[in-house]
Amino acid sequence: MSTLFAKALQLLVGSGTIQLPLLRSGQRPLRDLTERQLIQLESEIGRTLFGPVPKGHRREFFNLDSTTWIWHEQWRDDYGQPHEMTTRYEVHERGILKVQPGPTYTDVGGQELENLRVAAEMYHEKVMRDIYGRNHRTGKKLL
Amino acid sequence: MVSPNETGQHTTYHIPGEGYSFAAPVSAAAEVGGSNHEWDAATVASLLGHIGSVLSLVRENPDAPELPIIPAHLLTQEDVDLAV
Repeated sequence: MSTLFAKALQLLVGSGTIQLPLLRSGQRPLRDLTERQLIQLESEIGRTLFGPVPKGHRREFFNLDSTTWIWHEQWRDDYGQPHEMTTRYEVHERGILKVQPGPTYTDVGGQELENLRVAAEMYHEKVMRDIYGRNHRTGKKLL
Repeated sequence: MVSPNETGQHTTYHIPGEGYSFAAPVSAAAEVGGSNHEWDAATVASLLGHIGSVLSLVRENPDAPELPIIPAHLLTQEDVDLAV
């Protein structure tokens, strides 16, 4: 298992339940949080970008690093059987490669590419403002 | 194959055979997806790479006085609709 995938898996599954405090704007002790905790906070925003999460589903969407975005979904089917799907979007110079279990590799294009672009831009703007207190265009701290 | 299915404020894109759906806020899609601009795969990849680099830096040092600026041509002209 690659280090990258192990890192993403640890973020998704964790090594136990982490109870992050409810963080208010301007009161975030960001320096006290690990990279993992910050990404989990980001995912709280990321999971809202695709509309309501259906009952019984768990969704995570986050940026892992400069070349990787993760979308994870867990749900139970009509028979109560658990399912999960982790999709890794790899950033390459010529485009985005979607990696799913199997593994299968697909170039992202068409409407999915557009959806991913919109989601990433929204993620960037909301995360920069709501978590890091910064303007997403300039990178400067908000007053 | 991705097909849109309007559901209230959001457009849900069902991906047959993959067991889940990929949805994007329809308001944001209308705002920024607008489609006078053709976003090719390499440009989207560049955008996602820049965003990822900036976020990695700010995670390492949340108090960094300056962060790299994402090239303006990669960002939409209008701010995305955040009412989601």
